[in-house]
Amino acid sequence: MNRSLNVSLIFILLHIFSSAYAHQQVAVENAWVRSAPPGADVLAAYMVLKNESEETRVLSRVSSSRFESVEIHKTEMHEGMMRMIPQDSLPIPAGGSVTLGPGGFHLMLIGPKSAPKEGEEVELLLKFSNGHSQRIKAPVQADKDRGKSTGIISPTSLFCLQEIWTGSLHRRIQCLRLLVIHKRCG
Amino acid sequence: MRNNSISSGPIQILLLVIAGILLLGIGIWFGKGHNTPPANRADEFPSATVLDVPVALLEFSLNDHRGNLFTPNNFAGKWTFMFFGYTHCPDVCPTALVDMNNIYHNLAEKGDLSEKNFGIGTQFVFISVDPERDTVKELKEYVPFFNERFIGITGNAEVIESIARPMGIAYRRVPGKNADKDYLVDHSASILLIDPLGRMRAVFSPPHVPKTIAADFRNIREKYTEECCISVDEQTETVTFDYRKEK
Repeated sequence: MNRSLNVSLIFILLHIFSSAYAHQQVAVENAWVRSAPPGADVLAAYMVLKNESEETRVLSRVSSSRFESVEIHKTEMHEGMMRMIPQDSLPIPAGGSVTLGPGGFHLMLIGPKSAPKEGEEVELLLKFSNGHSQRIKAPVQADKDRGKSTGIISPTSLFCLQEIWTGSLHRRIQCLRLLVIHKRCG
Repeated sequence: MRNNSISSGPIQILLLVIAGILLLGIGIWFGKGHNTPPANRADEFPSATVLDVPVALLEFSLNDHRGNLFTPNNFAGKWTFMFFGYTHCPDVCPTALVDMNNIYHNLAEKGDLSEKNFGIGTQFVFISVDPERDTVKELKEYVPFFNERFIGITGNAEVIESIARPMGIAYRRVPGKNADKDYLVDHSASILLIDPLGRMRAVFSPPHVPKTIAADFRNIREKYTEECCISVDEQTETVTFDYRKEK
């Protein structure tokens, strides 16, 4: 009786400490890297940074053993042109979030040591100005919605099945490959 | 008296309600008639700015990613989605090419890339605004990665500029964070639509929603194909694409 009380106490304390710790950090969600042709010397990483603490957190540096350097950039429309503006840091407001997405904030991954392929994961080290650093993994995929395959045949997959049935030989092979390997339609 | 008013009350209310509904209906009917414009352009093509007078392209000679010549003749008889970008571009260009690939598949899935449209096909072209670094070889590795049917175009920098300008495409080289050779290029990120006579017909501004663009393209094509380049032989009842008609 006494022992089980102790054990549950420990669990309760652990839970309190771990959740308190988690609230000090920045949660990284939906991280992904846009797949690029094998010869590409720059790629982009996207994610949502959620600040669960009560103070502003500032992303100050990003690095990856896979790339020569990583820069924080923002794509902006300026005089009718899209321009990329390097950012020294990226503040995330207390209790708020910042989305890094196509056509906006992104991490520019420069000089890949080997070409990241679709389906692989790229490891990134995010460093914050409070000294905290966080290691994340971002899957390499062609588009935002890709790669979240559930294994269930979706309506677009039905189109694939139709194309496998009626399409050209090239298209049939392509669809089969996509369905079998990536469980998606393309 | 008292009884009377109680029994007639609900009927009067019912009559009033019916009269009210009728009046409301009449009001809506008239209001609708007055408010509906003959054609609402903003609603007609939500993702596109369609030009009433298409912009003609100048004569030019460039190369595709296979090393073949690419001239205005390559636009003849096809609708062309065209994007100006460069391969050392991490965010905007891959995003646009993936969007174009989604447009391609949206059209392809419904068998809408060519057959239904008087045999007039559809092609997708990526033109480099950084021809110095984007050689034919670079484009050959880059463009087909997004879609094997896409065409990469490069060539003389002045020639590319002479095409881009009249179409409202601006770009400018800006220094990168590091060395001299690491420059970036600011550039317009619109997808252009070229008609089967090689004239710019519409502009799709970012952010691009492939589904909407594909739907708008179908409508633009339906509206403008006949006007620009179809001739009908009434005796044989054959419809043919006639590129030379306006030349």
